[in-house]
Amino acid sequence: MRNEAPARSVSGMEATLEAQGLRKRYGSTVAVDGLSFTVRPGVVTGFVGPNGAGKSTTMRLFLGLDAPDAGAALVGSRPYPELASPLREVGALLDAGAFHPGRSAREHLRWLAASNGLPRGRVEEVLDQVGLARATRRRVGGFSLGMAQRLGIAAALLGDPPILLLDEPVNGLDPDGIRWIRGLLRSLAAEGRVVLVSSHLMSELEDTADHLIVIGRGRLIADIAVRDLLKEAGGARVTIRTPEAARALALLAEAGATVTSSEVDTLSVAGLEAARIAELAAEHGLRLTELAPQRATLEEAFIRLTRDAVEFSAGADGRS
Amino acid sequence: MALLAGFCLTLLFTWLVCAGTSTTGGSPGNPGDNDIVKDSLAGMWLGQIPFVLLAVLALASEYSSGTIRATFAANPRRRTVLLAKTAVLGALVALVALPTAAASFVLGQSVLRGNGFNYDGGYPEVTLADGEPLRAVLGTAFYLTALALLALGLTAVVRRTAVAISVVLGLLFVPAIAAGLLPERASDIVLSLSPAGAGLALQQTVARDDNVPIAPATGLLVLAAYALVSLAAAAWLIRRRDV
Repeated sequence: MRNEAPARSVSGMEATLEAQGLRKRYGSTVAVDGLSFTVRPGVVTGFVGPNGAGKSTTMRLFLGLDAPDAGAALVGSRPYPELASPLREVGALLDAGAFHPGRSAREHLRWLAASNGLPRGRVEEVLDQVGLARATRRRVGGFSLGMAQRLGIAAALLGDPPILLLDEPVNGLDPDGIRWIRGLLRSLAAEGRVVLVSSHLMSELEDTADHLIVIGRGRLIADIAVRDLLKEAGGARVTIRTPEAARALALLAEAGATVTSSEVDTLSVAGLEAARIAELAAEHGLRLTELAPQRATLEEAFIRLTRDAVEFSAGADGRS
Repeated sequence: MALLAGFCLTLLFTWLVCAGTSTTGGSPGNPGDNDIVKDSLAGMWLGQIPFVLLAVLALASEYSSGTIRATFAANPRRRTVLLAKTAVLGALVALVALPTAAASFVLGQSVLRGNGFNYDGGYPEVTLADGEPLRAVLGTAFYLTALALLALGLTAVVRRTAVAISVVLGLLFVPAIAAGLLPERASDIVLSLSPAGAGLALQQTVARDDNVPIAPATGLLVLAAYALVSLAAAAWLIRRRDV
């Protein structure tokens, strides 16, 4: 079952997830509008967007639960309903609540395994893998959110699929669980699988995702590697503290940097490296009490990108 | 659980009805006009409710808990899923409905005989070996099965528990109420086309004024039509709609 080879295949074809001009409307709301992208194996791909951007809709389109009004959602070059044994090709976690509350964890997974002809032994294996080994016989209705999430992940892993679609898997997990799933996702991607993880919080994906697909209001905003996004986002700023703020500001501006000030003696400098700033300060006898390079966070980059696409936002003073 | 309830309620109601029915004044060869076969199957009117509820809840619970999404993700061939559910439910209900109807008949007969519906009162003994009682018993079992399948199809169409239950119970009981208020011709038509009326037609063995004016075979067709139309609608919609 464990596969050392780089790229997995879906029925002989390379495992990818492809959206081609997807369009879907619910009533008068256009949830997804002309969405096209390809998700490749071997990296954790974050699927990010503000609430209401169309992430869940897109995932449902990939799983054949909804039919697109236009375009196609392809799993390994085929639409989902054409897959003979779908759980062997795509493992999905859509929402933690989709269980029959009266069943036990084991019974739920056994039913799924039977429906796709998966070996019975897989049930115990995945329950072990997600840390539910001691709760297998408990009623799912009594599960906490974190446990339900883990069960959902177990269900996704059941068929050992080359493609994984996880909708907000971090929801409800405690910090330990978050760390666990981060490791799990990275190891799954390292095995050559396609791993698509959606989230509305960029901070969740920091350190996890290598590639990002950002959508807003149903449209694609960016399809970019994390590295490149950070660079594009204007990258590093340097925070300095000095008792001679005005003089420092003038000096740095002359050297070509963009300087902003948030507090009396604190300046945020963009466009100059920390070493250069230190040099300039030394040359002109400028006293610095703090010199700290700031790494741009994914979250800042994300907010800047999606600022215009946020569907629900509070007004500037907190009123919406 | 529901199947057990169906069995018990049927027998209970049959006993209640038959225990309260009695006759005097007849003689061999001169019976009154009671339909003792139909009366001994009267329990069906109460007993049908658990069977129908089973059919509705079996499917509605998947929609309300969201499990239906897992079902359709694991099995994207939705019509096959519906077919499988239909087959399992149909087999289960039929398997329980048959002994239920038979037991109801036997119980009803023994109670009625004690109440004067016997040879001396003009009602010769009837058993399941006789043609008409056998038809009534098999027809009752068929009625319960068709009803369950009708309920299943309806649930797949409306997808909500409360709506499904309301519509099914309405379909069962409203025509009888309406028929009681309408003039005779209209009342006959309403009864003949309703599921309950068709079920009654399968049980009738004696010509009476208050009979449903269709032949048992017609009743069979009406019931089959209800089940088939309901399932066909479900099959058509289930593929096209979003989950």
